[in-house]
Amino acid sequence: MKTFGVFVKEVRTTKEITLREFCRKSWQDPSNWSKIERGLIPPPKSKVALDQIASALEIEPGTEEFNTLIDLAAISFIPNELLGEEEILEKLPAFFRTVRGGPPNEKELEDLIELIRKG
Amino acid sequence: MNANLVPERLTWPAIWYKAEEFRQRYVDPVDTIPLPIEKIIETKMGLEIRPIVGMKSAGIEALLLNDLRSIIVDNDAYLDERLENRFRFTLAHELGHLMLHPDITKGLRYRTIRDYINHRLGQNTEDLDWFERQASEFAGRLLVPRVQLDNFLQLERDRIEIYLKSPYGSNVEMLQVSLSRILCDKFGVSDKVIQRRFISEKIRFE
Repeated sequence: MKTFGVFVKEVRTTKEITLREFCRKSWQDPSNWSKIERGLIPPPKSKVALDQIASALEIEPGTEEFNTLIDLAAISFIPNELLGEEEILEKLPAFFRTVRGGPPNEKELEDLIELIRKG
Repeated sequence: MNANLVPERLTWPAIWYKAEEFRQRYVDPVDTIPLPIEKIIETKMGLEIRPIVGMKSAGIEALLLNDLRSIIVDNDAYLDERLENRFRFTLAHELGHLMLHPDITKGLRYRTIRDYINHRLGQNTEDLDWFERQASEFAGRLLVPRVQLDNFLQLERDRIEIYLKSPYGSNVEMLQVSLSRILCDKFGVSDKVIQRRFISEKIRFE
């Protein structure tokens, strides 16, 4: 069965709604919402929030998509685990831009790895 | 053991060709400006833009994960509308790595986190800088296509003529700065990106 996050992301990308547009319309924080779509934190449960999400996704109340959205939000949430070392190692970037312009130092690399791990 | 990261010495025209290929493939109509870069990344390419809190505090502006599926950005920069043009360039720069350097990325395998850190710290700074310059050149040409830039400069022809005949006429740099401020919002980039285009593309105003 699909999770809430996977369902929302599928609807969002099928309708060509960017993360920015979606978060602006649904009053969600993009960083948190990205975690919800990836199953790291639970979806909102309140009716107000779910109505805003449905509206941002252009889902009409009473439709099958609307009922699926509400049902998936109500299912008890088991978070995806944070990335283990093996998964992290597959994702670590070859290139990246530092704010100051030069290559990162050891401390910046360690901080970066921690940020990627926590998502 | 991973080898050192050594960039292929791509010419600027070779990079421009890649940027134009990208537009042909993903942008409809192909000459759209400003480029709707987030829509293209998320809905045409199926990649993820992942805002993370604290990236900038860790000294990192943005990066492309090695699975080539996700671009990580700083959440505050993502939300700050004043930085919108700069942010668009940041995304285009990461696309530059994806389009120009995928084989380098795919070839990397690490056994431990320490391996990664040591490998990254052991790289030649000049070589790493070449990768970054190539990605930035791709980004600049992608966001500011030459044909549209020439068209806008043609529209500014009278202003350019007046400037060139003025007592300051020999100071081309001042003209570049002035034109870049007029043109930057049309392309959705900073004035610095337009100035860079004038230099990279060797645009003359006489």
